[in-house]
Amino acid sequence: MALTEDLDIFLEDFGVTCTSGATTAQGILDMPSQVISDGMVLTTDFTLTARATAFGALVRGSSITVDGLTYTVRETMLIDDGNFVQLGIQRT
Amino acid sequence: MTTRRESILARIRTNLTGTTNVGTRIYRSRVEPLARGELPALVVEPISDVCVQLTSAPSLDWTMTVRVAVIVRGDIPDQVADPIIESLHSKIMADLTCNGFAYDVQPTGVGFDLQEADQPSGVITCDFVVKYRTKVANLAQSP
Repeated sequence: MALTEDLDIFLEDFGVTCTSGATTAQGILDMPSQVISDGMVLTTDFTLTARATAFGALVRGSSITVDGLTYTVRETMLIDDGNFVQLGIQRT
Repeated sequence: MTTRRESILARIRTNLTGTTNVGTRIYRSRVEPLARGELPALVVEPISDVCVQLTSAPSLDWTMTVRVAVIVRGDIPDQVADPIIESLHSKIMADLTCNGFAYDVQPTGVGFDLQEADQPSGVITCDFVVKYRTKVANLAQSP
């Protein structure tokens, strides 16, 4: 019997409202600190996990609002089977 | 007494006061990473210091590599760093004896480390060699 997945369940508990253009959907925002450049720079690795159908077409420079704050997309990467996408984003 | 090495490093740090766009964010050998709100900034640090002993004179000839790292954030980090590099270079080259502690300062190269971050980040390293002399048995005194 084929299993019918409801992928929105993955985002239900920890997802926040994200909007880019005319699309509004849930996404999970992670923001761990990171040290780069041989220990010289402290940065925040903002990563948004969302449905690829919602935000998979965003490209570098696209604007997205996450939980009320505006970010700019750095890169868009499909994960696993391609149903979800991870967006590297930066505070605008 | 303070070694010539330390006197030179301190002098370079002092000479960099007023470098374009960095304000008071000029650090000596800072080992903690710099956050976005602390940039642009400069970090002055020694990289190496090698010597030769001339048998005809009781002295040590030292060649110290000093690095001035310019740490910036911006869409084009090396472009953001450019006026800072121009400014620091002229400040260092305006005092070739480091207040009398050295006999020459020479630029040796610039390195670029550009990385993605929450805003594009750049660490541009400006290396200089500082040539100075000490007594064989006393690093704080000139021969």
